[in-house]
This record gives sequence, structure tokens and C-alpha cells, in this order.
Amino acid sequence: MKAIEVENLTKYYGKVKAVDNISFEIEKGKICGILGPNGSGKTTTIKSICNLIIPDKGNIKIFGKDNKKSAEHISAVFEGTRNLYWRLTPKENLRYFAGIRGLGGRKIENNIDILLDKFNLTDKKDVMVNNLSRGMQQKVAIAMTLICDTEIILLDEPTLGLDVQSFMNIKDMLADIASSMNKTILLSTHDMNLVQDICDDVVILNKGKVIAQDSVEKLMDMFESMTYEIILAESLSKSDKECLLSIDYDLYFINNKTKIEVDIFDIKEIYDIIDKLKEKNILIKEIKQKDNNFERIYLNITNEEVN
Amino acid sequence: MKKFYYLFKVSVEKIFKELKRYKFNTISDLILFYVLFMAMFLGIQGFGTSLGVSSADMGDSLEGFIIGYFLWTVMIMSFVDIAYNVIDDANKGTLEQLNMSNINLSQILVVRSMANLLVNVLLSIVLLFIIMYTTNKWIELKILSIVIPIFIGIFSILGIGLICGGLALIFKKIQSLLNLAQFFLIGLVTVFPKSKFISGLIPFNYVAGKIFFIVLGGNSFVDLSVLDYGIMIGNSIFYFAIGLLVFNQCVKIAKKKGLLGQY
Ligand SMILES: Nc1ncnc2c1ncn2[C@@H]1O[C@H](COP(=O)(O)OP(=O)(O)OP(=O)(O)O)[C@@H](O)[C@H]1O
Ligand SMILES: [Mg+2]
Repeated sequence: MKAIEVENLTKYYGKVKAVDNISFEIEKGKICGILGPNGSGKTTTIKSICNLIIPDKGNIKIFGKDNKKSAEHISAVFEGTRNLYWRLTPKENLRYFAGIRGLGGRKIENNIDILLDKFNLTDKKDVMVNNLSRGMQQKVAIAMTLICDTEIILLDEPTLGLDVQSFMNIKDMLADIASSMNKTILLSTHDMNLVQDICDDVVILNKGKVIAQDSVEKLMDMFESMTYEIILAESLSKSDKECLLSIDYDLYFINNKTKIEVDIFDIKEIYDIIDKLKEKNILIKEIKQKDNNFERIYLNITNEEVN
Repeated sequence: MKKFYYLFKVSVEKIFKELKRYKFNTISDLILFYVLFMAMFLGIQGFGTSLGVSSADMGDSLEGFIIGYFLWTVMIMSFVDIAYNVIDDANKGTLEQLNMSNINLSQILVVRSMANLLVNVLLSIVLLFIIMYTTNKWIELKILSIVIPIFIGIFSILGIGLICGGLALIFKKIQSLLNLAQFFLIGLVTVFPKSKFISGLIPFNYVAGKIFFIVLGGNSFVDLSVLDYGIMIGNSIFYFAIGLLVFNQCVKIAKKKGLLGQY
């Protein structure tokens, strides 16, 4: 069953075309990542789905129904705003936002306690949100979407600005929410680890257009290249770098050009690069094969688009 | 109906929580109101004495003054509550959350405003008693007889609040105008046109007149005619409906322009 269907969505802000005729679908119960460089239209897409932005063209359906009549199915946490009342405690916030949706009573009170417990917020339940850490605030905001008990949760950059610990924490929470509570989650992010670890599908945007849309698994297969890491004894000069680029492989220069990463599709290709390095008298310290990762796939897709 | 009950309940709770959490603010606000009132009151008395009016005759005007002041604060509170809360929530970044409810934003704002009104009327009545105690002028407060017309009339003010709140969503510089608008509202409860018809066209004006009639004339809410109620209800429905219309239209424009997010 389709939880979200976006058809030919187009949105202009004045003359700026933020979203350009995009279409995609999300199956019920899946976690879908929406990726793309800054300004590619992720937030605009998410807010259009939430009916906070009225698009210029296109339809959005939630479980087959127009999204303007589907408020009870959707909750969201937005990026760059507070989402919560900072002068209220986590418990008061959850109660308030449930009330805003006309929910209350003993069942909600119980659920609030269960959620606070689940998110390890019980000992902070009476502290003003203002005084909580960024990670905890984000957890309260996510708990808020759960107390509203909607089937669909939209999260705009849920791990932005979190430390490693909080990041892992929220990542696990989201995976758990989707599987054990059977929620459909659409999240935007710049974090490829998050995508690789918890997303089922991705939609990749660039300049307001969908440039790829598939399951994470398929994309990983499709781009199953071998990534080699070549560590050099010293950093490359500019002319050496240009010379290497001339052999037309996907080369990435890292660590002040003392490390080259390359995606190859045939093991023989690595010799071309080694030959080139030999020709230029560049000393190789180490060569090793890297695991395929989503970050590289993402860069491949978006770079292809640029070229 | 149950959903509005929960909405009302959490709104009242939030107001009390914030009053308590901003103890200092709450108390200083109350003191300010009190001092302001006393200053105006003593000013009038001094004015009366200098004109050679005996303090016995001051009684009537004092009552009128107290009621006028009371009405004004009630009005300001409901008007300010809607308009300022929209701005406040937009600033805080919670307006989008409110907008995602299955309850329409205008309805949320109205219910929240009613909650605020309830709390403020309670506080005002307490303040009124303190004022009467310190001035030792006791006026007979027929709470029910005042509250009924206020409840009917306040919807016209809520309508105006919705109009201002809606405009504030689109025109970000409107905040300074709101401050001015408050003082124009004084006119609504102090200037009464001779004609019933004209008074009935001005928001809240007819209701305010009737409240003076009740309090100063020693009347009760049953002394108002069917026509009186008709005018009061008609006036409220008219302005409230326009308020809803304008507000919902403004929300639509804001959603088209992507203005709901950052203020
Ligand atoms: N309210 C607005 N008014 C005018 N232009 C806007 C508005 N919101 C977004 N834009 C523009 O629309 C384009 C898409 O913005 P959007 O916020 O959707 O991108 P994004 O993918 O979420 O970016 P980021 O990764 O930086 O969050 C950008 O060019 C942005 O400047
Ligand atoms: Mg964004």
C-alpha cells in the first residue's frame, strides 16, 4: 500500500524554482531518505506533503486521499526551528501537542510515560526543554510525533548537529520506530551513514529534480564498484593531479592529496593508475580495497548529474 | 466535541504553567495594572475635587470608570491574544506544528483565546476586588449579568484579532500597528453613538453600552430586550465570520508564499 504519493510537484518562490515537477511514492512501513545538496528542494517537498506549503502544480496523496484532508495521518519535525515550547517540560510538551490534535485522557497520559521511558527521558521529564541538550530536544520532538500517533512521520534533517552518541541513539530509535511501531518515515538528511544503516529507499534531488529513486540495496548493487584507496608518500603537485585526472577515472583526492580514492569496475584498471604514478615518480605507501559505501554512491550520482 | 475539550484543557494548563514559571513577570504585570488604575483613579478624583464636584457624585463615574477599564482589559486580552500569539508561535517555530493539527488553525487560536480569556477574567476580578478594597468603593458586581453579554460580544473582538493575526502572517511589520490598534479599541467601549443601528455596526460597542446599562442602571441581563440580544449576537457573528474568512485566506496566502516557517 502506498503511504505517500507525490505527483508532478512543482513549487516556485517568486522566480526561484524550488521543486521542479517531481514524482515519487513511498510504501507503507518503509523508511525513505530524501537526499540532495543544499537548496535542492528537500524541505520544500516535505512541507508540501505536510500541507504547510501549497504547491503551484501537482498532487500529493496520503493513503490515496488528498493531503489537505489527511492531517490526522501526518506528523513532522522540522529543521532549524524549535518544534517544541521551550518553557514547557517534555511531559507538558507531549501533553500539549496531543491536546492540539484533540487527544487526551488516561490513555495519552499512559503513552506519555511509556514514550518518555522508552527515550530515556524519564529523569528529565520535569526539566524545561530549554535546558535540555540538543540531542534530548530532538528526542522529545520525535516523541511528540509519536504521541500524535500518526501513521506517517516526516523528519527534516533529524540528526543535524548531534554528537556521535546522540546520532547513534536517534538512528537506533528511528529504526525501532519503523519496525516495531509500523510507521512510515520520510526523512531528509545529508548523512549517508544514516541512509545506509536505516533507509529502505532513497529519493535523490538535485536542483529541484529527482535524479535517482530506488531502494538503497539496489543502488548499492548497481554501483557495486570496487573502491581502492592509494596512500602516497607525499602530497601530489597540481600538475601531477591534473595528469592523473586525464586518465578519466572517478578519482577523489583526500587528506591534502596524500590519498587517492578511485572507483573501478575492472581490477586491471588499477594498473593504469599505478603506471601513471610510476611514470610521475610518485611513491606509493599503501594500496587497499575499501568497502562499498553509500556516500560514494551518492557522490557518483550527483556528480554524474553535474557533468 | 471531546477534542475541543482536550484542546481547551491543555490551553488552560499551559497558561497557568507559564504564569507560574514567569512568577516575576506575572506579579509585576499585576502590580503595573494596579498602579496604573490607581493613578488614573486618583487623577480623576483630583480632577473632580478641583472642579468642585463632591466625592459622593464621584460614585457613578467611578463605577463607570471601573467597568470601562475592566471591559477594555478583557477586550485587549482577547484581541492581543490571537494576534500576538500568531506572531509569537511563528517566532518560536511552533506555528507549523499547530498548523499540522486536524483541528483548523483558526479554531485552535479561538479556543486558546477563550482559555486565556477565562484565566484573565478570573485574574481581573481578583484585581478588581483588591482595587475596591483599597479604594473602599464597593460596586455591586453582578458577575452573571456582565459575563453573559461579554461572552456574546467577545466574538466580535476575536474576529478582529483573527484579521490582525492573519495579516501579521503575511506582513511581518505589522507588530507596531497592533500596539496602536489596542488604543483604538478604547474607543469601542467609551464612545457610544446615539443610534442603535450605528452602535450595532461597530464591533463590541453595543455590548459595552449594555454592560454600562446593567451595572450603572442597577439592571440585570434579563432586562435586555430580544432586539438587544439580536443586535449583540448579529454583531458578533458578523465580525467573527469575517475574521475567520480573512484569517483562513491569509493562511492560504502564507502557505503559497512559504511564510509559515521562519518569521
Ligand atoms: N520561503 C522561501 N522563500 C523563498 N525562497 C525559498 C523559501 N524556502 C526555500 N526557498 C528556496 O527554494 C530552494 C529550495 O529550498 P529548500 O529549503 O527546499 O532546499 P533544501 O533541500 O531543504 O536545502 P537544505 O539542504 O539547505 O536544507 C532554495 O533555492 C531556497 O533558497
Ligand atoms: Mg532543508
